Amino acid sequence: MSMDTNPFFDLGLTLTRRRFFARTAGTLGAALGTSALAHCLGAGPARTSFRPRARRVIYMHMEGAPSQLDLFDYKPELRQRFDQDLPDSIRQGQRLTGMTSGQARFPVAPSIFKFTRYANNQDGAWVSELMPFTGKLAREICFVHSMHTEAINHEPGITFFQTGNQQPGRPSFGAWVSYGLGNMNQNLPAFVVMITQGKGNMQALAARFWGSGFLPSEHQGCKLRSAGDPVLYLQDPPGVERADRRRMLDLVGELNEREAARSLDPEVRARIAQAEMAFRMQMSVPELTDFSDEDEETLALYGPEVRTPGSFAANCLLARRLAERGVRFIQLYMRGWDQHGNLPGEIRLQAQAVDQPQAALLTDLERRGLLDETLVLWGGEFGRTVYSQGELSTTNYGRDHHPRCFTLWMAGGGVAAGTSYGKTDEYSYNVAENPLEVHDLHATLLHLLGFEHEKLVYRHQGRDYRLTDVFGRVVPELLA
Amino acid sequence: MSVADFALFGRLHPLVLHFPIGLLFGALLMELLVARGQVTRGAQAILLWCAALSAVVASASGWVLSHEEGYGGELLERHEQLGIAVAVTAVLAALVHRFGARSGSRTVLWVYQILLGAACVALVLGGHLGAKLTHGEDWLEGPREREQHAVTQVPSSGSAGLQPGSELLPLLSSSKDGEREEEEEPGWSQALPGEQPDAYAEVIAPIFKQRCASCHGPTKKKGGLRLDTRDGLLAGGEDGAVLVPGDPMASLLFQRVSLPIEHEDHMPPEGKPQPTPEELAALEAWIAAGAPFGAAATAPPSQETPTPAGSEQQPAPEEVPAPAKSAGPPSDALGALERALVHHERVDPGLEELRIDVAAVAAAFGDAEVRALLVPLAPWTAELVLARSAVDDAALTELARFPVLRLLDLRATHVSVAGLAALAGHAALEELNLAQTRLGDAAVEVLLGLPRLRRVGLWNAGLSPEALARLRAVPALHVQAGDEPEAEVLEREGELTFTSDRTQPGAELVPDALRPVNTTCPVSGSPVNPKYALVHTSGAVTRVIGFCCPNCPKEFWADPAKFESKLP
Repeated sequence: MSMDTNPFFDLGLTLTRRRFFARTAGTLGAALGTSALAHCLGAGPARTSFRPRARRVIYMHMEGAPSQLDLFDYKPELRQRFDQDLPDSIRQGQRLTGMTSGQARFPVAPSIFKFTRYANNQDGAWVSELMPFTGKLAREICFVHSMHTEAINHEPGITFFQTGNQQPGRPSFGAWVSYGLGNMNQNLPAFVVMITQGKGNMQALAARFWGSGFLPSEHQGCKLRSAGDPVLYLQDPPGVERADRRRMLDLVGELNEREAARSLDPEVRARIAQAEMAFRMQMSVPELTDFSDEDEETLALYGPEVRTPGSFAANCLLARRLAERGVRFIQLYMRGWDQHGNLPGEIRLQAQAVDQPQAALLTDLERRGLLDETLVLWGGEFGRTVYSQGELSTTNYGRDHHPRCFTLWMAGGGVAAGTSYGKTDEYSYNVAENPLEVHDLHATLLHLLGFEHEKLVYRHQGRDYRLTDVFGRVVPELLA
Repeated sequence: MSVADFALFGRLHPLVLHFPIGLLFGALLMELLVARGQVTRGAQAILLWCAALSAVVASASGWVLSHEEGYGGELLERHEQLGIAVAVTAVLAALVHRFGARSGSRTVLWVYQILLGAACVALVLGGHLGAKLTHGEDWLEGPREREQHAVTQVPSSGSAGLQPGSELLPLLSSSKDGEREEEEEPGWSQALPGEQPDAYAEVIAPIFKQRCASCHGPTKKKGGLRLDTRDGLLAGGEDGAVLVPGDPMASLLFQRVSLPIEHEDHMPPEGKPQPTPEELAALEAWIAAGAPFGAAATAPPSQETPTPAGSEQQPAPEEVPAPAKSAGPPSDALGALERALVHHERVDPGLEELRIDVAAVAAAFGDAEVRALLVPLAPWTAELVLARSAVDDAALTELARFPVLRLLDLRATHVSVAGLAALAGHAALEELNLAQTRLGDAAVEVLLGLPRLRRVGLWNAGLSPEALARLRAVPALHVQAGDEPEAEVLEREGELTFTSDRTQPGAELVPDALRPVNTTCPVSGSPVNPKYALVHTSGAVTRVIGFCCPNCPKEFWADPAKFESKLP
């Protein structure tokens, strides 16, 4: 090869083999990515296939896995099986976690909480005394008792629920919605996450649960912090005026544009977009988090903790405010449901923290006319076992992880309100009727948002990825 | 180093070119004087050499200037060729003159005279083309023709200079006087009855053609800008876009035209024919209307004359005629929305209908913005979310004229019953959210008069329970007022007792004879699992012994006597 100034040779000097391969993979993504960016800057159409029922999602994830037996899955016969061994015919060789595999016995632990049957559009919904406010809204809620999953521990469980795969690296549900629907309000991110610390045993939450995976990174969730500034380093330091910040952004944007044109890396454009978003959030976030324009009656609806920043009540109110302002995906994490021991005491505190706020959120959305277009989802990453982990007594017990069946509920956004879907067996161990897999749930929710779940794809590493992986079917009984 | 570095030299071309003009013709004139003996050949030589040199410099500077933007095309090429021809022939003439003066030959003299003549002819032709480049195609014949094309159909009336189709007039009136006039028929003679006139083709395009196209046209594009075509207007030029549909004051084009004539940026340049005040008014109105090109999608007559409000709902509401849409909502109007951070999307991916949501800029979105940004998209707007915005009753009058408006969200706005009355009888409204507004019971009449209304949100809208009851009496109407009862309790559990009397599944299937005699495993001491039992004979006794797991029987079998004591 000659050494004179051949433009291909020059390119070869700057492009090592590794970078070439990395870039080729990204270039196709760049072609899609830039269109995704243009779309996220409001310039492109949404990727919906038909008319949506829901325009935004509020997903309350109960991290740690709340016990379905003590909240929503009513099993009265278990009270006559107190301390009996779990029959093998029920357990069918289910693998155990390391925490209970050493146990010699698996005694049945019935719930010590009383249940109430509330009227709904079917023959009533049983809700325990821990959640009276939620029970009173049984007409709006669609309970799914037959959820099941594959993961038995929190990390893979939450990853599976959020991204459709137990192994990390894929975009989260919110990122897919942001990618598919685009941003309605250019002054706020399309995907916002808020975390509440729990009163019980807490497990770790990783930022990749609301990450964007291989989607352009402006689709990742933006976390609002509970204490201090909602977003770190958002406000300009003293001495820097907003006009200065604007000029700085223009100049840096110009430099970044040159780099984007040179390297074809979609992440550069994502960086530009996020810097612009941060600039706009300087004005929009303080207005969002200022509750002084809420009237007392509304604040009282959410309960006494609403004025405590970072509490679930405050985050629910923020969720409603975000929904009003056109944010597409609002995720609330409530930590602390992992009651391996001391369940009755801890779950009481947990439920007290969430019950009134979540009911208030539904009521508030409904009377403002937002509930019909907002899909509200509540659930954990798996369920809890019927047998007790550790000592069983008539006042105390613990429960271990249980992926084979658990309960979640949905409201709003075109869901079949006031119904219950699926049944578990009498031990709440296996699904007896209408099992619902996580991918099927995702497919149904995407359907409500106006997507054909097989068509909302992104090409990465040579194949079209989607939230539902290669599974998923829409369940018509869950639709109104 | 590139041609651009010599730009200043190129700019001197209009200056330098006067030298060869004067000097060459001077040299030509001198031929007469030489013949009469009043001027020597030597003197003429000096003049000729100056002419030749200046012609070369002029050509060179012209060549540099031609690389600037805005010049191109066949006209430029011919001018260039002729200019070079002038320089070449002038130089040759000077050379021949010099050698001929010594030889005194008649032939050489003729050759020189022919060359000089050719140079002058080329100069005239090239100069004429150059003038065309600078002053426009019609610079010579110009003044007579232009008067004939004056915008005679623009009457100079008091409030607005233009009477276009009905879609422009309300905007004109409102932007000038604040009055709102509704015109049913178009005010032009050109428009055929029943047809909406094309404001651009009939009024605006001729203005551009006369006042602007000579410098911003097909042969010359000063500043890279063409104003004689739609694409050129939309594309803009070197300084970017010149047209912001819906906002004349933000449009560079209108700004330049509105500047005082002494301002250096004023367009058209001083000394060129200026647009009349009526033409300026027409331009402003056209831009304010969203700069529509081509006939706007006609709104059906029902837009202007809404069906009269009845006091109760009509049992069979008339069909809303589908508006004749040409090609969907205009992209410039959509672009204006995007620049204002207003969200728009298709209601259904297959249809042209729009859903518009002002959530991002709600606090600053008021009646003026409704007029400027939303009215141009009225024929396509099916769903409009103005919640928490600054719109007032005035905007509702505009919205009443939206023909396909199906969903209107006015939650937490300052509208009142008076404004709501403007929506009375709207033929298409199906969903109306009036939560957190300050209405009164008088709103009930308006709501009952909407033939297609099926959902209305009235939480905190100031309606009494009686008014709500009246509305709820309508069978097809769903009223959301935040007063739905909670789900009643159907059953409650009493005191709980825990027992173990229910047998486990599978346990009752074991017949008595096969039931193990022990309840705890002899090997481990754990409770017995009836599944793991074996029949053991020791001596005369045959028993069924139960174990807790599959491993214990092996241990027991290895040494049964060891575990004798553990068994009952």
